[in-house]
Amino acid sequence: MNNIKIKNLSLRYGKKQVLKNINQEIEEKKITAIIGPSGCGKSSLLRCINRMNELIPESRVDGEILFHNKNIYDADTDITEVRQKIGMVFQKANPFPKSIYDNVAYGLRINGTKDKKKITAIVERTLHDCGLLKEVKDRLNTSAIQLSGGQQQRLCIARALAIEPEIILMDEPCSALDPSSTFKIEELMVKLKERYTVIIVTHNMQQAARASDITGFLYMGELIEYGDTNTLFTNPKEKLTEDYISGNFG
Amino acid sequence: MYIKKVFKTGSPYIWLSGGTLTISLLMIFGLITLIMIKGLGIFWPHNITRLMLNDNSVVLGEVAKVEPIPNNKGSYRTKLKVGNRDIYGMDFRWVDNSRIIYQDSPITALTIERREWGNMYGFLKGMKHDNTVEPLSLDDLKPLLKESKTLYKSIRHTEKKEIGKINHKMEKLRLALKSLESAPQSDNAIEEIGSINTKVETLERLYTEKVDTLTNLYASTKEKEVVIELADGREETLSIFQIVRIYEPNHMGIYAKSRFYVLKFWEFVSAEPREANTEGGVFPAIFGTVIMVLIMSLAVTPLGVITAVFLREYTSDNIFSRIVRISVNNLAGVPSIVFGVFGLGFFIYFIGGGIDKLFYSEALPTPTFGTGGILWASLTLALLTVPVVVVATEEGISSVPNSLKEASYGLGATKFETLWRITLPQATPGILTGMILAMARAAGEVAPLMITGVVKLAPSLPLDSYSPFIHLERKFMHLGFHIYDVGFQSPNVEAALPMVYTTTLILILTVLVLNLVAIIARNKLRKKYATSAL
Repeated sequence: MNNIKIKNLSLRYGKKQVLKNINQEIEEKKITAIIGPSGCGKSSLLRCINRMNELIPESRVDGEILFHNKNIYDADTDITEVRQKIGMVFQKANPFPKSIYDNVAYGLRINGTKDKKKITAIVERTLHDCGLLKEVKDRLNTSAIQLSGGQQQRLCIARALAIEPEIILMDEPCSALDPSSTFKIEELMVKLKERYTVIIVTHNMQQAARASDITGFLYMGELIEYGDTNTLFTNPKEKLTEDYISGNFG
Repeated sequence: MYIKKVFKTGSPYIWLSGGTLTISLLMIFGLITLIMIKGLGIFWPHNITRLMLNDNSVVLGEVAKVEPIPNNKGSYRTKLKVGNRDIYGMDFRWVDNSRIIYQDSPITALTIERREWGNMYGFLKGMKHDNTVEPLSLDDLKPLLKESKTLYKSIRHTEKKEIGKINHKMEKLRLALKSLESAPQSDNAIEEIGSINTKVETLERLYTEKVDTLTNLYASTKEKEVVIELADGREETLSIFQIVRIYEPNHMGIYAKSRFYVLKFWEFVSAEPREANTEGGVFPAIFGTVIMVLIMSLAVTPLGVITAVFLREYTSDNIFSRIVRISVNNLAGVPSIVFGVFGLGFFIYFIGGGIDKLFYSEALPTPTFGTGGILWASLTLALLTVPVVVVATEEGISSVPNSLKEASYGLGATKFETLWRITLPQATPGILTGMILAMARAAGEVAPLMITGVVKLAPSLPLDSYSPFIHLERKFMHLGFHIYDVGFQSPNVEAALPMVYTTTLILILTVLVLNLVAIIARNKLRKKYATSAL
């Protein structure tokens, strides 16, 4: 089963071509990792999937991304609905300068949930799912800014989960974290794939190898190789992939 | 070579910038100190000096200044405040020190603050009874003064409150009558006109009654008179009602003087002005300034914030937005009187005149909103300060981290939701900074106010107990204009000069308090929205 199909996707920032003709099918309830050297377009590809690229002026997308067999770049697509269904976690933890509770409730509130009991229940459940509830139970109303970096990132994941997306995009979520926080997040990812489709961009190849089911290797805006993680790491088909994973460049 | 090396280290520049900063600070402190010295001294009860001159004349008054006579070494002259403007024709007199034969400070010398004609200096002779003078001590005078104070209060009450209320009602009935008469006649209308007429009659009867009481009250003010002996032995009768305050400064100790000082200062900030603003307090001016600044902030903040949001968030960098931005920034350089003229033409004649035609047509040709008033003055100042708010808000908005906006968009928020829930709250400290600067600018602006509604003496405050309580069409008093008026337009400029300094001090304090409130609010918000505690 797959619920995202990327078809002939190209992306330009002004005159600069960032992605060239990407074709990829993302499998449901699996962790898909996208690896590649810096500047190869990994993050741009990820941001195309929930149309976050449109926030960058002069960006232009050609091709299609089908979500439930509907092109999200169609003129009649509701962009906010796309972003609700396809949540995102960013490279640097970016909690709002509000309380922990309000951070998680933010998405619910803008989507019109008014019932306080319901909001509280969801907040507690998602915090629990992210393993954060135990740590912050007594200070849900204190500022999220006071949490540690790893806690902040897990809070951001909880915030994205609260509005029940189907897909979670993670843009190098661990690049600013220490190993133990990274470990916690990887654990969380594995737990999440029971219910969600996870797409993660990372430059950490060990992380991709450890946590993902499927890996894509992106180089200079092109998808060089895409397939089962174990196969890709142990027996790559392409010479470029082999060079990259063995550390010959990148 | 050596000099080059020194300049390379950069320390000369540090010294230069430090030096200019110090000079600026010193100048500011010097300014404030000067104003404080000149302004705070006037409430202190100065001693009275009696001078006997070589032509055997005697003068009595406060020594205002002693200065050397130019081109005549070793000789001095004294400026004496002799008061009694109604008798001498002037408040001050210069005396060459060489003419003084004898000088003393009699303890029984009195300073008498009067409701009219300024201070009087002299000695209490006694109470006047028909044509005889009965001796009277200062202590015996006190209860009489108290009596006259109650009398004054009841006169004010009748004049302002009771007759004011009747006038207010009469005006309303008159307008109702006028609009009924101009409408097509019907039985109903005729009936109503009749009922209004009876109401008017009752009010008129009430009015005559009140005027009678007032006449009686005024008559009783002339009943009791005291006789004051002036320095040269002349005797003057003075109605007790005319006395605001009477005291013997030469007899007062430091404690009594301090108490007097505090009371006088309190009168200054809490009472209404007397005698063409040269005596009494400045309360209406403080009130007018504060209300005007508040209305101005209420108007300028939304205007400036919406403009800034539009420029920052809803337009990209194109020719149109550049033109708008340049225009806004250039507005800051337009002379303020030009804004005043614009306010007069646009707000008062166009909008105010339009409102009058639509809603107050029965009062025409007397304008209600079509003349200067606190609302129009505030709006004019709001236009004047819009650039400040726009620039500060833009800065505030641009300081909101992009990652926060992205997080909000990523959760399915629209542009407006992100703006409302993330960007604007984050930019609030910046917006408040703009407001603080706008308030400081607006509170000190006088020129545009002079043609949009400020007056020398406003009969009533823009806020009172008659519905609708806030009277935005009313003219108002302003501290800045008050300074100009007292200092340059009053009949007695020399005597009023210390008031100029004190009023300046009050203006500075008012601006300071307004700004402090805003700054405290801003700092609280800043703490709340700090994006990083790591």
